[in-house]
Amino acid sequence: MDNSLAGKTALVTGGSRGIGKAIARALYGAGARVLIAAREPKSLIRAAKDIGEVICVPADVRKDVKKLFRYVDRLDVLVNNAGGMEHRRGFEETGLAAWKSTFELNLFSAVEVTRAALPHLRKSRGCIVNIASDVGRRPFGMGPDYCAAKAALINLTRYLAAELAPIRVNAVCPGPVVTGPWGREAVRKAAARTLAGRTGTPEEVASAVLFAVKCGYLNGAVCGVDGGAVRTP
Amino acid sequence: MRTKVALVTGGSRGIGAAIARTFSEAGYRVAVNYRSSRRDAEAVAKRVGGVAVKGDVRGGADALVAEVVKKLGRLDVLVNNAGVADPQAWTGDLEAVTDEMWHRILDTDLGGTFRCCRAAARVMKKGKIINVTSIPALLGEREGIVYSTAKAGVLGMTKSLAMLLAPRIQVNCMALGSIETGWAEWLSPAMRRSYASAIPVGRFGRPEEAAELALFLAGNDWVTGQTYVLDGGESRV
Repeated sequence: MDNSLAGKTALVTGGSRGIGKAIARALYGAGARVLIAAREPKSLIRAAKDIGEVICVPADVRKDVKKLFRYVDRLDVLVNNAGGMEHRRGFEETGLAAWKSTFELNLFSAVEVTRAALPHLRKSRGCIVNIASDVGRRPFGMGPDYCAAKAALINLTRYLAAELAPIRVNAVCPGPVVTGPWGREAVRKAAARTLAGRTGTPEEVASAVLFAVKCGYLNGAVCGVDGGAVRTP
Repeated sequence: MRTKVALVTGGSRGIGAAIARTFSEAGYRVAVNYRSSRRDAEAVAKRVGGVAVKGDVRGGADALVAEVVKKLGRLDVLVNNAGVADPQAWTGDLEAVTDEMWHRILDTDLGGTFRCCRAAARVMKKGKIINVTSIPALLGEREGIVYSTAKAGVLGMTKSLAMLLAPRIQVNCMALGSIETGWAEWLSPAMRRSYASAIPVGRFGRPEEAAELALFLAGNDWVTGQTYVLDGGESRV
């Protein structure tokens, strides 16, 4: 059994469903004490039942950052996973309010959670994994605001890898992973974007996060897990 | 015959030897390839319970892969780690870069990787190819003209092969920064300090850390066509 993260504490934002839940499960499976944060208490409880003895923190990462650290005295691993696409429109149809909302959810939340986590991470010489997206590396019709926010998160990852050292900061960029109620046509189209010819699983993304946490020389790296959809740096 | 088989080219020392050890610990049977360092390769093979296989990736890639399949029955993972270590090729003097150097280094670092990929693709049912490249391929290196060219070639080839061999074989490369191997011994203490100070984590990488990355890439079916940079945060590309 993998017990390599025994004694470590990890926080996964957006940890109750989909990719975040798989990440929490992987970290828990490696022996870490895991906190999962999400907005809906019900989905948190459901996730905890599935995973094991994880600590549930009902919180909105856009507002309740202080809440996240109320229950722990240390933090070794921060996974900024919370985020999402709230709408999907072309550039002309995307107004500033939509842009701001997308950046709040996908970039500023990670900024604020990271700032709040810093004192803990400095003490533990811990690490951060930001969950970006393949569209942050190479934009694809997911809306200009979402693509730009994820690109900003990737750039921030590389920036912080230097400034926050010895805290390691890496990004994992998932390609299409079906986690919600996607239609059959959407799944087919997403799969066709990859070389693998299929969408990915949350577990495949989680395995990259676990690697990023464990490998002590990985820093400032942008790890694509996307079936080969995007092959740029 | 269910145990997976990994072939590591240039496996007699340094990063290759660490990859052989790590894969063996993870349950693979390992073929440790060497060109001239037979003793070292046999010592690594003995330690990991694998086999040492002689072969020069410049002209003997087909025979090498055939030998591995003959000895171990199959091939699941190819790690293209073999490369030229030639201090003379590290020079800022363009005139010192001879045609002979150019051909020899490209033929080993790039051509050898290609020939091993082609031979492996022939025998693998499903599998993984992991190519070793390095930061100069991405950023350039004024004293490593030939080396950076060869390694940049590996980057492009990796992506093309990922496309061509999908979905049967996943092909990725690891772009390594300063890893603690033979070349680090050429450095003076002052140079070492200067190198390390440019690395955010403050030290050179360990061969075992490169091996961890290789093992991850060997185990994930949805990672292909990627370049994973492992350099302690030095390049941030």
